[in-house]
Amino acid sequence: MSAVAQENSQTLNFYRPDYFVKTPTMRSPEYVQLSTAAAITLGLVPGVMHRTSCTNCLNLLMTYPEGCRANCTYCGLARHREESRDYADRNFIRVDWPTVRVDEMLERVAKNGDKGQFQRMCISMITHPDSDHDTQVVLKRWMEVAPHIPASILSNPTTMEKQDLIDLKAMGADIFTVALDAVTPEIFERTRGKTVQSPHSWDKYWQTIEWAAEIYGPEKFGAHLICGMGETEQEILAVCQKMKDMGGHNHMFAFFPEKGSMMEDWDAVPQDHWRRVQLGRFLIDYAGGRYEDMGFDIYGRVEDFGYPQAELEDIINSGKPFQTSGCPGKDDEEVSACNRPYGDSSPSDIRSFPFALNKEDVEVVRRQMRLQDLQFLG
Amino acid sequence: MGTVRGCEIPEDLLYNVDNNVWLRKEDDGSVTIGMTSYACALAGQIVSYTPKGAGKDIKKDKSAATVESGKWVGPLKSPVSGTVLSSNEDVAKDPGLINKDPYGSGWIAKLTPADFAGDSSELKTGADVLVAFEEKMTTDGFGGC
Repeated sequence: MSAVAQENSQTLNFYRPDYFVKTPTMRSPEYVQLSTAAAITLGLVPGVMHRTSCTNCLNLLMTYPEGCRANCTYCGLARHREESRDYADRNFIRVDWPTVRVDEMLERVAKNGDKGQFQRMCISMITHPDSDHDTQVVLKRWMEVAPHIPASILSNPTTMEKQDLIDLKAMGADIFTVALDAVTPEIFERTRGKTVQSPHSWDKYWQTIEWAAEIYGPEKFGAHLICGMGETEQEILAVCQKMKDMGGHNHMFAFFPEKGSMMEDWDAVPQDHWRRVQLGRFLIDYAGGRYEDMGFDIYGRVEDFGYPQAELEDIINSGKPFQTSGCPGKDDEEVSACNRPYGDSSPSDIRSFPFALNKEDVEVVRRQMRLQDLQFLG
Repeated sequence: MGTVRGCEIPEDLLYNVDNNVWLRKEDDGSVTIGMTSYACALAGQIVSYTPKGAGKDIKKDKSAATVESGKWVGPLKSPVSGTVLSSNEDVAKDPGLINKDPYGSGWIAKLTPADFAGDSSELKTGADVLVAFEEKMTTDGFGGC
């Protein structure tokens, strides 16, 4: 398989990470990285995915040879990896993110290269001096080519001002989200703050969420949260309720120990813990559930969802709480267009289902939710 | 070495094209089976290999091993019925060998076939297999390795 597809000696259209070739110099806004699933859906790389044929969201990532200047302990793009691998060759949330020339990507979208599968596009910013400006350039170009596919912004807002959010909305951004990731000030500091020589601050992130609530309005902003970085179920669901009360949504990820990150030796979030948080988040975001009605044990584990049992069973049987959470598509507001196939787990041990669950899947989830009880039986 | 859309397809092997697997008859009567380069391109970098153990009887078109990449997990379906002689310890240590050398050191399993003459009659080889893979790639909408 060719690692580098070159139109001619001057123009590189697509680069797939390959440790056996010198990494080309590629820089936003001329280039962006995109998820492997998006690259498969757009026909840039061959591939099959377990029980799903496509992704419904085109996930883009700003890219610079200097890389992200942050040093988050759980992230494969962190600055501390710059000595081991060139930026465009680093894995990000489990798999490689190839790099594509923006012209090439837009041309494929214009020619329906996704066969109508994309219901949303999302630009992920990174921490770099040029990222704020270049995100606007890529968004502007997207709106010229595909205004019918709504655009989301996933921000790392350390370098952003309120006016940046206003400008992005004026350019056509539909939803603005903040990659909060860590849900307590202490965990945020030790995974993303000065403790690990990273520039982010808890207060700035929450200030930006408040700006987003004001500028984008209800249902049009959200936060990315990672479950399993040392917080309790109670702590993460408290943040979910806070976001909901502000008018936003919660986009939940299971912690995955990214190879090469400083947290690569951590365990993935336990299945029972994760399933309870997924269910609690869904109840809060979409089913009128409230954190205050939930009961927790002394370890912060959910004991009672504070929800009528019959209705709770129906919601579990729907499987929706266990599907990938994120920005909505066009069909069902409770199901994310951003299905991120296997972005937070392997396909043999699925944490976020990128497809609708069948009865067997729901039964597996139910067993996983009971793991804690089973472990205490002996 | 035959090539179809950039994928190497050695013409001296036997193939179940639908299941994307190859088979080589060894001099001692055993068979070696593995993934085609086309299957490897579709799956991406293989990260996990779980073979059936030695002595296990396997029916034709049933799993001889489970392989997993970042986005896919599935069985390697044996093109013949038989008993597992051995799995590949090198691949167990480095599943990426399957991608690097699918027809050589990246083999999946060795079997003692139960009815090689009967089972192998449906397998394709030679020039026919190149035509069959071209048709499959067209049906699959595959752009090339």
